[in-house]
Amino acid sequence: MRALMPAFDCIQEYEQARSERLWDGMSLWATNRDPGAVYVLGYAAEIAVKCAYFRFSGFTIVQPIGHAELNTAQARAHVLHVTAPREGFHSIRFWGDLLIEHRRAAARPLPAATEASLKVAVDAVYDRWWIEMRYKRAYSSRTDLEQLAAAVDWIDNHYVALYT
Amino acid sequence: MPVIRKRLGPRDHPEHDRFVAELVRHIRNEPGLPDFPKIVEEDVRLSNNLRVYVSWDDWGSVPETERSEIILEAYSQARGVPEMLRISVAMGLTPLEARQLGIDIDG
Repeated sequence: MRALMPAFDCIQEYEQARSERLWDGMSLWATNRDPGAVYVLGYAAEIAVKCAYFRFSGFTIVQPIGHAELNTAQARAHVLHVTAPREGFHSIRFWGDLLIEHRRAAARPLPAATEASLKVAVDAVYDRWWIEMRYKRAYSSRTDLEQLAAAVDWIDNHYVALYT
Repeated sequence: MPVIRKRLGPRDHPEHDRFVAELVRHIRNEPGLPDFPKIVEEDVRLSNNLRVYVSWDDWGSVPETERSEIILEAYSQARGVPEMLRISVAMGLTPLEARQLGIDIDG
């Protein structure tokens, strides 16, 4: 199976993965696997915000996103005074703040209400999901799942607006 | 033994600002420049993005991400923020690193 996977990441792969993680998360929710649903839905949110950043940055859907591109994103974050740690490039707060600051620097800021709602959604996910959860036992509650799912839903519904 | 307080986050290289200033001169193609740093710009096909490779022996003591920061800061100063935002890859390499990675800076 590894041989079938593309050798590099790109927006096209990210977006397909985002869609699959959304359905996977909903399936887990429907079968009362709440902590699993939190973990998988968190990925969907993180991928969406990361992808919105690369789309806004002008990447084509098949343009490789590898070490050099991620390292440049980290450098740009520093230049634009984004202080959120990247957390292995899996921090939704890092990508959300970078998207906001990149748009500002490009003189195309998000509308104030959208930016505020994005920050609320990103914080809701950030507080309940991080990549290292895979090594932890389940701490998520039904309330965590419902609040995270609401944030994921907002990000999903506003995905295109984040990069256009 | 004195207490050593560790600073949070990375500290800029002591010559960070000199590197930026030197790169700005090269990006602006000012007269009388030395051969290095050598800057290669590559348009990304079907995109407005730009990849920038900078070959320079002086990079040796500079961490990888800070090299990228220096390049982005220099482009921002020399050509403006919009041009800096076009850069999808800002990679600083010593000539030896470039050869080891098979990146043809001279081609």
